[in-house]
Amino acid sequence: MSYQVTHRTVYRYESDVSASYGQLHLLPRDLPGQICRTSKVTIDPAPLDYRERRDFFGNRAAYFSILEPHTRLEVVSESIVDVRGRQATLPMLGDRPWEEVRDRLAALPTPAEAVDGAVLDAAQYSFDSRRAAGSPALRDYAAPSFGRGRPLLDAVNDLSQRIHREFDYDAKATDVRTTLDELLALRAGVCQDFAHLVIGCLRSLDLAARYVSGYLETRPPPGKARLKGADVSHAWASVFLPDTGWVDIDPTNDQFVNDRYVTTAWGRDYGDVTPLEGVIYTEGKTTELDVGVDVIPLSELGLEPDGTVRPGETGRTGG
Amino acid sequence: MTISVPPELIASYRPPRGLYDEMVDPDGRVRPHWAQVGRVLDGLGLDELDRRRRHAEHLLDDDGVSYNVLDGTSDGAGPGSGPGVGTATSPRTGHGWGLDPVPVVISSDEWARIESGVIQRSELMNLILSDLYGPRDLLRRGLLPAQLVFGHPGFLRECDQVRIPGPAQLFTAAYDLARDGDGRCWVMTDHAQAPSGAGYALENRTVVSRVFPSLYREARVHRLAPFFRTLRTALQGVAPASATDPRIVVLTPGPWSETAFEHAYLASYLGYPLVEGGDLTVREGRLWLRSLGHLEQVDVVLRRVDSWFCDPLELRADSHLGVPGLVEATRLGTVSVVNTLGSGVLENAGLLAFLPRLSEALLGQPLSLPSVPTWWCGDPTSRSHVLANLSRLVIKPVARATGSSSIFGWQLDEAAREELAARIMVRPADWVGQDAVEIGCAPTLTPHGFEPRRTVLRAFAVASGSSYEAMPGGLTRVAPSIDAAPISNQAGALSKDTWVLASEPETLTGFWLQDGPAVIAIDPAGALSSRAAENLFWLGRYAERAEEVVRLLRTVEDRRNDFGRSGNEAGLACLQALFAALTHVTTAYPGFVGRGAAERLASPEAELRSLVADGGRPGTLAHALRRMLQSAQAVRDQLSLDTWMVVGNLDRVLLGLDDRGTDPQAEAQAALTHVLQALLALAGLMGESMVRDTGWRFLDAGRRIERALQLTSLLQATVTIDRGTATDSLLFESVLTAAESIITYRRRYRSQAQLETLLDLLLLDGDNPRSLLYQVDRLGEDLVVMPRPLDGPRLSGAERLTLEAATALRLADTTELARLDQYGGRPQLSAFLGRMGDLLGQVAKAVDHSHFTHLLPQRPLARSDGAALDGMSSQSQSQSQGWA
Repeated sequence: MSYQVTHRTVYRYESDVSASYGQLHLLPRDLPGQICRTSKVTIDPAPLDYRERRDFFGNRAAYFSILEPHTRLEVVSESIVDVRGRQATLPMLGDRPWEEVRDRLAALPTPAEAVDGAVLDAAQYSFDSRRAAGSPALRDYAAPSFGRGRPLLDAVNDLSQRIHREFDYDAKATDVRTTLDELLALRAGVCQDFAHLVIGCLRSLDLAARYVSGYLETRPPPGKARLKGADVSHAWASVFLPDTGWVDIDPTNDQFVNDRYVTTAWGRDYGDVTPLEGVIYTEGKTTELDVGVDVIPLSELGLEPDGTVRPGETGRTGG
Repeated sequence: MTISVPPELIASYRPPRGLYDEMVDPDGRVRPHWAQVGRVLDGLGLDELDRRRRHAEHLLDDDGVSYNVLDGTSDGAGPGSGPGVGTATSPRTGHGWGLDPVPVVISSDEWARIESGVIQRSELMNLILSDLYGPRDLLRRGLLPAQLVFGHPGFLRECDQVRIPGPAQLFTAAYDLARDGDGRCWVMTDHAQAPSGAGYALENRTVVSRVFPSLYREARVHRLAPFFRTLRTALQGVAPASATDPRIVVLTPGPWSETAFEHAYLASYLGYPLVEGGDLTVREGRLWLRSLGHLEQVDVVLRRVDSWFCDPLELRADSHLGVPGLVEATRLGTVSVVNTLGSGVLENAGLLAFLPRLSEALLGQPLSLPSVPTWWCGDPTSRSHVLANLSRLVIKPVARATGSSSIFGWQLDEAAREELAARIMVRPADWVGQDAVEIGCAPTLTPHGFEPRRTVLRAFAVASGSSYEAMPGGLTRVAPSIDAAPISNQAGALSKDTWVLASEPETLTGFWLQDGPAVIAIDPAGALSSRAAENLFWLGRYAERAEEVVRLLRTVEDRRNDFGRSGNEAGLACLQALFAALTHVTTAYPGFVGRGAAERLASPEAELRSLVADGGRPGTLAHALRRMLQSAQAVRDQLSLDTWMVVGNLDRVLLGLDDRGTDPQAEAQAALTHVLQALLALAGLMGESMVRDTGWRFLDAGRRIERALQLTSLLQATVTIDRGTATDSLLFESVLTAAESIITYRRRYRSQAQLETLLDLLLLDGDNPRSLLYQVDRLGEDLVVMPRPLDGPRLSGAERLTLEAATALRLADTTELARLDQYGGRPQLSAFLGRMGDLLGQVAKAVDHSHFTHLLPQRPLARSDGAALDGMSSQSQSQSQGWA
């Protein structure tokens, strides 16, 4: 599939903001099964500084600053992304007992051996991070899925199913301060929470798991038109399997990630890949915030995969 | 070598068996390198030493040396580089710095060993730091476990691959060294975040060399100054290549951080501006200092703010001590921050377990200055060792966090040990176990003679070329009692100077005086941050306000003594008018004029005491003094060292007043006199010891505006109505006294008191340094030389207003002003004074508006998930300066 992804964020401030510094993770990265063909970020008012870079995790990040008074800030990111065969990379065949994976991650490389760079890199995702730390309670919660010798992906799939079954989707249940142990007690949350929950459970078992932020194409009911701005940014978890790589799983929708998902960035938890964060200087205490996301198949837009208008058709340039 | 007739002090000194003592060997004989120092100290005797100790105390007081004690977050880690530094900026108790005048003496040979160990360790730490933020081969080669690095909060991914120019990525480091029973040196803690203490060591040296001048000269002690010259050279050396004449600043969390004294002391010793986060801004990929009227590019930041707090955009979002975009600027290489952001990763107790191996692997040598044996619980074998030996080990978290501290296994009972073991098992990688060292001791002066106290030496290193230079000596810290092991700078702890004896006369190198082309002076306005100018302005205002309040209070006290208990009607009416004036001038309403005034007039003691001593009440003397000292603290690097000798203990004078004495009125009078003396001395210093640069202009402008405002409100409150000849005679005399013009008036007009002549002297006489016209004229001179935009109008707004006031004053007619209306009022005088007050208030606003930085409150950008950022813990981080 090829998508045009548009992520628009508008801040309206109560009073003048004299300066605004921001960092964004809104540009989709490339990865096996995904290529970002074009992308651009538009910021209004025009920033004095704007620079893109690769962050520690290889994600595309950008820094910007606005140093003129403003009461409104708009950040729009538009990308065209090809997603092909993500499901096909599903490596059930490479699955192996979770204890074996754990031990591979924990083993200290010895100078004599050739180092497996992927394992070394993955190891960092097995350690606690601020928003996704292991705990005895999480380990207990994960235990029924992680019987002795059970293959890792099978176990993770079971964990995801249990979370899907036992937790309600409720946007009001949690906020960024909610801890994973509290989440366990609440049994309700949003995609971010469920992703962190999977990660926390895996880290409790010394397994490597990371947080993935991105988008999921939502399909309008048959016969209905696609609603503008109706899509959402999404988050899921990814688990590391040596010799195979990372396998993404979405506990919110209880499925392995497929070609309807677009990945933006990954990190240890949400804090590493916050789509848009910043510091502003203002007397005003409140901000009005509007976020609109569109994930539209290029075929619906009448666009070629490179985003150009297909000859003979009038293209919609999207959100 | 033995001392044949053991003199008294040393003969009676008995260190505990089994502990290494710096001065005497296990048989009680003085060690050879202590012979000279010991003999001299002994010869002085206890009484004389105690006198010298008090002298040292006075010198420290005069220099205003302090260490701000953190509330309840002691982790025994000593000054500075603990994580608390960035968090709390609320006012805390400033403690005097404790200094035992008896130095620790180290022989030349022994120092050579320590020095080479410090240098070797720094080189090793540098290789580790370079690797961890570079290729990370140490992880690939299995020399360090990934968890130790990636799991440590000091490892800042945001700062990965950022390098500063030159081979040294570790710019400075400090090591806490302790001796075991055999005298062997062990490193207890490494400091690499933003090591503190070097400035305190320098101050200790300054004081001790003044207390024992001849001993210091004769003992041939290595001087500390060359170390700081190397520091300065190193700072120049790390500037980006594009900076030809690098601008270097010292970044402090602010005047309330633990080691604020040291930040200011170092800044002024090294000659660099002391700045706070709010003084800096990042734009166009570069770092700038908000100077008066323009931005100055900054090339090097000597950082005394912990990494985490340095950039609210990429690091801790709730930090108000940093600069958004700073990390980005370091990434672009337009500015060098030292120690580099993220260097705190070296302050990892777990690293100690791996250093011996790393030293062999990276340097091909064993560690010559070993760490205390340490086991990292992330490793299963080490963990078993720690758990099996809990009762004899020190258990530490790998990351020093607020509230966490060392746990001494032998102090725990069975249950507590089990609980600790369980905690370790939950997150083993977060803990280490460390052998306990029986820390050695040194003789310390007490009222009873020399007593042994355990000491730890903090040694310092700074990058120099491709290696490091160690400070000869360092900061010795002393435990408060012989039983106390952990040494910190919390209340009661002491420090010592450390004397490294030179084996041969020192050759002086790196002179301050240098040949070569003259260096272009730094533009003083450029070096002055907008915040510093603002603090100087308020320092002037509060110093003057305090002075005027003292004078008025003294005048009131005099009249109370004259008439307080008499039946003299005129005297009582005058007193009543003065009480009212006191309230109007201080604006401490309701006081003697508003609700409840009648009762307060009947027994004014409580209100008067409050006007003197209630620091929490705006308008009072104590409040003005407190604000004055705060402003002075914030621009410590701009003021002469003598300033602290004059005003350093003013707050304590008033604190003492809170206690009820036997004769409170006399006590208050004495305190007022003391305060006035100090303020006069301060005014003298400002007048005679400060260069008339831009900073001084702000200070003076503040003083002029305040004196003018105080004078107009005093006159407004006293002489704008007619109270009858008898009362007014007394009142005019008091007004002239409070306005410090009574002598001139008497000399000029003898006994013929008239309002016209009073007004002439106090308002219009341009030669009277207390007159309104004099203030306005001086203010005009200050404003002319303040920086202004090139394309601005010829006269600034403030100048225009000042000119208007000066003209109105010159045109004023005292006869007209003094004219009474039919109700016994002087409406023209009242209106005139009102207009003057108004104009001067506007001048103050105009100066504020055009020269000072007005940062709006910093807030995190709302998240798209709708929730606010993790509880803004901005309690008192705000750096608000809007004092009125």
